[in-house]
Amino acid sequence: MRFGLGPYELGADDGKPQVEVYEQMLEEATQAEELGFDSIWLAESHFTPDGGCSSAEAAAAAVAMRTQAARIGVFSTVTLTHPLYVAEDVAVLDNIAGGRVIVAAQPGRPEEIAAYGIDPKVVNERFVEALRVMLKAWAPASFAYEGKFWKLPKKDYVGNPFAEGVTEINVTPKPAQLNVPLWVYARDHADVERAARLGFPIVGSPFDTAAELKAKRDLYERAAAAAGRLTDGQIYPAIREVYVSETMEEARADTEEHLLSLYRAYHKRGVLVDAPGDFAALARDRFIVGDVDHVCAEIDRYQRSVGVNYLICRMSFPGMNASTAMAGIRFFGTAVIPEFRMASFPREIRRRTRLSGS
Amino acid sequence: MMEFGLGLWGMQATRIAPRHHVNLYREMIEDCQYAEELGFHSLWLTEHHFWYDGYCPSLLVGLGALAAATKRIKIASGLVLLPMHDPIRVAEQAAVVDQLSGGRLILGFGNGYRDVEFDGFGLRRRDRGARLSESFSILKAAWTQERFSFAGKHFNYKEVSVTPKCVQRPHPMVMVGSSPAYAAAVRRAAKHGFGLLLPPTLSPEGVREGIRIWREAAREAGYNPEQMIAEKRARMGLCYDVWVDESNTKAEKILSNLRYLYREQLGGWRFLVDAQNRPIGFDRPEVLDQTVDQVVCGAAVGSPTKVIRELKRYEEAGIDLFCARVRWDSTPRPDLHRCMRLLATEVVPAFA
Repeated sequence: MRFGLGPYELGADDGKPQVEVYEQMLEEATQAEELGFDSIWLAESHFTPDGGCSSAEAAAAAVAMRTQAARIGVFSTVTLTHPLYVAEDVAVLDNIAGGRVIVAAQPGRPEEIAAYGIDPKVVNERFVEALRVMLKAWAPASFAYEGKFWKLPKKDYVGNPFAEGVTEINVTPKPAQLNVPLWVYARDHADVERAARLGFPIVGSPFDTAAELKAKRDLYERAAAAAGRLTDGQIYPAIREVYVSETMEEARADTEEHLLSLYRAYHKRGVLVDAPGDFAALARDRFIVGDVDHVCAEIDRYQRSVGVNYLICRMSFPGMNASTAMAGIRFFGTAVIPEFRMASFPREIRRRTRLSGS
Repeated sequence: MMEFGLGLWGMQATRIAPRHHVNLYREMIEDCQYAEELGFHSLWLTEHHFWYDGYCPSLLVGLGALAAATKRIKIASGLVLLPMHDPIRVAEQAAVVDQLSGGRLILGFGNGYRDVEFDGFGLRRRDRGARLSESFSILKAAWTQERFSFAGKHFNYKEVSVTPKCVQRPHPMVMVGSSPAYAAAVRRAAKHGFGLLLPPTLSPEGVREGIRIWREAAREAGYNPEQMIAEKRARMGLCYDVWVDESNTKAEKILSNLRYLYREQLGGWRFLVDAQNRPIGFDRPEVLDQTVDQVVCGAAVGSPTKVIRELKRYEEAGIDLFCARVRWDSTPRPDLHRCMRLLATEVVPAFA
């Protein structure tokens, strides 16, 4: 199992100055790398009532300065503006980060699509076209592209003989990596089937239950096989709300209020369809919150039964104080991650408390 | 008091000195940290698209990195070619960088002039002025209004509430790349209450003329230009080619380098025009060489004493923020760092 930290949405947090929200994220990212997390994730969201981060790439560049080895993941919305903006931003980010970037492309939420005046019916088509333009932009060659939404280059010269011969453009600089890993955020079964057919790994939503993640994974495997694609070694990432403490009660007490208010806010904004009930109902088959035994058993279940092999863990929730969040991240890094670095971890050496050596 | 920033980092791997871009970006970070240590006011990045040398196309991502790598120095875009961008995206990225830097962002905006850059984004170069005007209004609304809609010729947004807001209120300082030769651009900046960033090709007289047009237009727009300048709410900036070394002779070694770079970019980009308003490019090599010589001769190259003398003329013309363009591709970095150090210790104090 691989582990990521995030994705951070970086919304305003109970009147805390937003600079502190960003600084806290950078401190947690630095610590997470030390603890052996494989990646740090930032999410792009627009026009949110809590003032969320609208440029994952800019924030990710800051994370690149505080880390040396961890990969940096960005959930980037690719349908709203010209895909070359995202392609260029990611290419620059990848050079800044020395080739550590992963992109999880998202099609945009309904309110974002509406704000840009885009017909919601064409979003899926626009999404695929944007991915194609991005991939062409990163490839080591110049290109021309003519699609339904974007056409380039457009020829509208003002008498420059050096431009008149230009029938293709070359997006520069190229990313540091030969291929920037490109994953897609899968909302529904149609997204899963499309991604499987096109060959992009899918990222499971935090709102999905484990059962729903399993169904998506099975669907992905079937659709990939039908398209003649091999899925050996396929990455199945999923986002989960995760928190580990010394006891079940303490873990719940540290997170309940914050997760409930976060999910109520999602529901209010229309991002989450069903109104969250009580904590137990919301957490069931979805959150990984508890003591070390519980969290390890749950992750083991995701690994063995659900087929998730890359867990992107949100561990720092709006409203939670910084030291509680950091304690959870540290404890997870020291007690939980090591257990999943080998096929069978001897329970006898499991660590259950924060104190070292016990 | 005149303040000194350093420019222009474009992370180019030119034909004269090809480099790996990862190294160029790492050096950008190190150079910015060194500039901060030397007490410079700001460090400026520069943008172009689709050029063979990998010229940086995403300044606000670069500035996001600088924000986390430094603590005090202001970080600046010189210039984001705004008509090629989506203004909401720029407003958002700028706000995120302002948050990451704790309010140290300065935004320079320019028009852009290379045909292929507009072509690549599927835009018409002739629309750039109109796109810039609409973008300025959108940026201000995005930063200062809780929620707004905009219906223009080029941009339409419905009920957007841009987040996060900037740390600097109402928004980071904006400087517009313009020149008295394009008086409309100077007036457009003034109308929005934005400052100026004038180009290296201007004489002190040209600077005076640019500032005069700006003041006049600002006053017409209902601002008090003298007060805005005094309170540093609008800066009169100049980007100027500078190279300092211990002696004039030592400093002049940079000239062949400068000549090569200017020839390459003026020739291919054709952004300078002759007296007949015809672009100067590789198709007219003699004119190109003459022009390159003129541009290079305009640079402040020499000992601290000589550079102080040349820059004083611009201070007297009303410039209060110099973006000293010291970062030339293929310059050995020890030389760059010596130039930065001499500028900080020998030149800047003369303007305090």
